[in-house]
Amino acid sequence: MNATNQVNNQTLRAPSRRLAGKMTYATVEKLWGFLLIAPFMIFFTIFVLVPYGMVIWLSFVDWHPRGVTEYVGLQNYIDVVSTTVARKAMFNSFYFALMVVPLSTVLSLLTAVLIISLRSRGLRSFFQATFYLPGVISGLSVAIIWRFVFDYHVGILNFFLSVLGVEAINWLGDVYTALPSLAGMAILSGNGVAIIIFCAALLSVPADLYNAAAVDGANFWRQQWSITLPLITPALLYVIVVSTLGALQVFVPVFVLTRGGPVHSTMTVGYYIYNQLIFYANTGTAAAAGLLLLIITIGLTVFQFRRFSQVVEF
Amino acid sequence: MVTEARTMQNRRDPIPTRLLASLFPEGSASVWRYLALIIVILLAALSLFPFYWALITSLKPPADVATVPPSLVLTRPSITNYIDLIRGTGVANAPVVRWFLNSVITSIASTVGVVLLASLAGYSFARKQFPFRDQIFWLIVTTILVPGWSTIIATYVLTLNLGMHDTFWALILPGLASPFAVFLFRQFAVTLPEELFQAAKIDGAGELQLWWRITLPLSRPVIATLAIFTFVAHWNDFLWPLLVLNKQNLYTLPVGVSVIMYQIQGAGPSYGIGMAAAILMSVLPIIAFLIMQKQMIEGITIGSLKG
Repeated sequence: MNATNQVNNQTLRAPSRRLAGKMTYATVEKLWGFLLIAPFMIFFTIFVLVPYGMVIWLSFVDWHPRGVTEYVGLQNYIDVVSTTVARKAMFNSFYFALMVVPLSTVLSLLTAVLIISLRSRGLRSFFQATFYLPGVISGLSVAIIWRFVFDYHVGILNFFLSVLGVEAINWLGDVYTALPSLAGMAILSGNGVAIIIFCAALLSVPADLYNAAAVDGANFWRQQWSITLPLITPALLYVIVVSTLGALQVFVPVFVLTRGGPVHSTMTVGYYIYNQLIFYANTGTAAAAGLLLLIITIGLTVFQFRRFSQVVEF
Repeated sequence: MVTEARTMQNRRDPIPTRLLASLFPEGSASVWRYLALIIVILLAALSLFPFYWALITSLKPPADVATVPPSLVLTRPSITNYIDLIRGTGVANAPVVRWFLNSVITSIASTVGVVLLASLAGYSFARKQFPFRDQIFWLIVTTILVPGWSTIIATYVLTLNLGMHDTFWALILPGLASPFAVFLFRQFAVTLPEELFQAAKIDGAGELQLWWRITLPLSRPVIATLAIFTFVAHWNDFLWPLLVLNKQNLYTLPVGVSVIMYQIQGAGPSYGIGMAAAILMSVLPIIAFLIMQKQMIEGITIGSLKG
């Protein structure tokens, strides 16, 4: 330790040309370590860390691009919590997540189980690819396509209903069906990643465990509960956390299909923030709403982790 | 003998098959397998149907687009919708080809930048010893879970103050610091054999050579995965370019398409142009996926399970 310090002290005083020769291996290693991460860290600091600080500042001020920025205390937060539209947006985002996350998780898990139960490896990877394919297509394309699917007059969905003899439904134009329609679209079109993750998790469960459990007299459901579930829990948790995050932030479908309407029935936090920023130039309320969303998400993620570690031990 | 052979064969079956098969009497395992295949085919058809529907609609002549009842197969193929889209029919100023090129340029620039920065940093986090290395790395990884909406306002104000709005810098620079890319690269670089680095050092390789001549060539699989994910993510990004671009000739394809869709919405045949736009935006990602599906599917698994 002392020796290293002495060397360091010497190198500090040494002329730069002889610097490298006199520095210890560990010091050079450290310097290069920092040097190699430096380009990334510069951009990370400017565009990730600085905005964290800035958004807190923005949430306490009334910001103007070319004017006086005024400190307003908690006013922005009060605005968000007290306006009906903002509260509706929070409520809708949760309602949306509550519809989407459980159903799409169950659907992806079920699909993954079915894919894995296919015998041929070729078929398995074919179906993994097939289910993942919609995942590379942009959310904007998907939303544009679904606007056509949901169309009241010429949409394919109402055509299928009419074949079944059911009256046409105004999917996107009705206060009660608009948000569930968006949820239905999300459930059917956003499962690719989850399916791939579940497939990998299911394949990694060692077969010996089931044999051992069978010898011990555990029946099928008991085996699922005690072996499969605990072993795929990390994957399950990951999928639930990520899809909750995604669902709470839903924006593109709202932007393309309903623009928040009818009567704010599809106003979500994402669309509210966009509106506040672009149409009302209210960076303060937008920042406050964003931070409230962050706090809620952190709370929810911690809750999901806790909940899961209660059910199964990692 | 027969039963034994069956058991032996079943042992090689994936677990859910064997478990579900154990529910049924002897011989029903194959029944279950066929049933599973049928259900999977149905589910796949359900999830792909909207895209099939979009594809054939985009290829119908405008008069056939919004008919009741709709025709589920393509009878009279036509590329009128695509021509209308590229000419920007019905919209004042719609340089669709230019938008397409804008998207290509910014997505490629972002991809090259992300791969370079992430490979340097990921290599360092994996193989160098320096103070606070692990703390810095976990700080970076933690930010992956922060919802984008929380800070997008600040990034918007920041890029505005830096004078980046209505330039491609606003599209490229903020995305260069990709925490996920560093995470993915570091997880890969950790697995490289240390002997190679030692041998290269003895041969007198400098630090940058270790990165350029040893790490990068060995990291081709992860670089391919990273590049494809970054390219597709930037290509598909809609919200950020929508916020920072106002000049119509700087639009990326998704922003341009959303403007077209907004201006022509309501008119029935506009769905034909809409479907053509949806297909046009999907072509490059789908080609990329078909070429690199193995890397992409492995990339998802690395990104999630090893975390």
